[in-house]
Amino acid sequence: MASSSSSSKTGLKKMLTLKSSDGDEFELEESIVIQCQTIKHMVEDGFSLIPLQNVDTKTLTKIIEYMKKHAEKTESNKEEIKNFNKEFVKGSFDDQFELVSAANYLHINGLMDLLCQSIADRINNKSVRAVREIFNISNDYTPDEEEKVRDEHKWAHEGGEFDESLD
Amino acid sequence: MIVYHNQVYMEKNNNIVACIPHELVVEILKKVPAKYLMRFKCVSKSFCSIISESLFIESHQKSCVSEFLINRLALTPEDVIYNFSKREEYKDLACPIQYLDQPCFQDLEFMQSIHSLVCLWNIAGQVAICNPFTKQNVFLPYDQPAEIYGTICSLGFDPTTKKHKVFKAHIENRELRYWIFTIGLDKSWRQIPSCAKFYPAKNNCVYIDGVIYFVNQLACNIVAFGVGDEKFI
Repeated sequence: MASSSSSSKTGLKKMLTLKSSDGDEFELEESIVIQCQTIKHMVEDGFSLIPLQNVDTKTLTKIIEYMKKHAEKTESNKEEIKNFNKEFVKGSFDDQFELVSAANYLHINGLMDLLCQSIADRINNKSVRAVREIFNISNDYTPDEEEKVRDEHKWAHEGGEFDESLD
Repeated sequence: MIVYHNQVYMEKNNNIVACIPHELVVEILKKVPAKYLMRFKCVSKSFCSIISESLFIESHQKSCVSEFLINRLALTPEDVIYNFSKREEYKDLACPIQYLDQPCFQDLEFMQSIHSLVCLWNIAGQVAICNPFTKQNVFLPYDQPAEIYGTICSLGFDPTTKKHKVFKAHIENRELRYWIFTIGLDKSWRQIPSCAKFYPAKNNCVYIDGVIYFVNQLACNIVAFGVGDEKFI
């Protein structure tokens, strides 16, 4: 018999446990979880219980939802995945930032791309003030310095209203 | 400020709000089209330095929004016809073309582009480089000796130093001469040694991975020029 993986020989699927920073445990099939490079490496090192100290339960639940859906990806359900992705990125900025931090930590490249693109699309038309609020950045320019940077690209601040809203 | 789980939290309006780590801000800004990025330089000094950093600019140019090649096919007194290729995601083409139609570029009838940069020139050797997305331009040094004609230019990129360079060939006192100019570094054109008979055909060069390939009008062959070491290969 040709060699095949141990899981298909026994008919049993190898399970892994992910533990959030709040201490909640999630049991998942290995085939779903290896989309995430960080976990994949830990599995290769023989771990089956994986503590994720940087990811809380709320964020981990969302990430698992994403990995489960994307594990189903085939040629025929592209449209369905696209719609799923569209819904997935609809949360508040703060939620999106939590997710993007976790996706970065876990090295889920597809999710990283999806989230960065959606955040980028949402801030395109925001005002400078709104972007500061959204990213929680304080303005460290003096009024003169800011005026100078503004003058270098005057056109970029003209033409239409910019969105002041924070969502 | 509280340091917790390797993330920095700051107090804001009595809520604890996480600061977004620098590396993630970079990843997000990479996906923002250049014309909006110019506005976001005003957000803070750290935003401005991310956006101005050369590695950021390079990876931004490689990402979806700025894959943009443009050429002028014809220039008549009334009309300019453009030919461009671009990725489908980039829909807003009116803005770069309007920019290139400005009066200050009107004397420069020839055009070639790589990444999102456009090189404009005329046969007398006036050369301008512009980025129609960030609306920045620079006119390269030009002193007007009497007998220059037949100027042909091409933009190239040196992957090692991350600098764009302009190659220029022209005929001066009946002799072919070749010049190079590093954008952002050089103050004047530097002449490079002439090789075997080579005069590039107009609108017939292409830049790929550190090398510009020219169709040679004089010998009906292809001449390759390494942008990094500035030598004919």
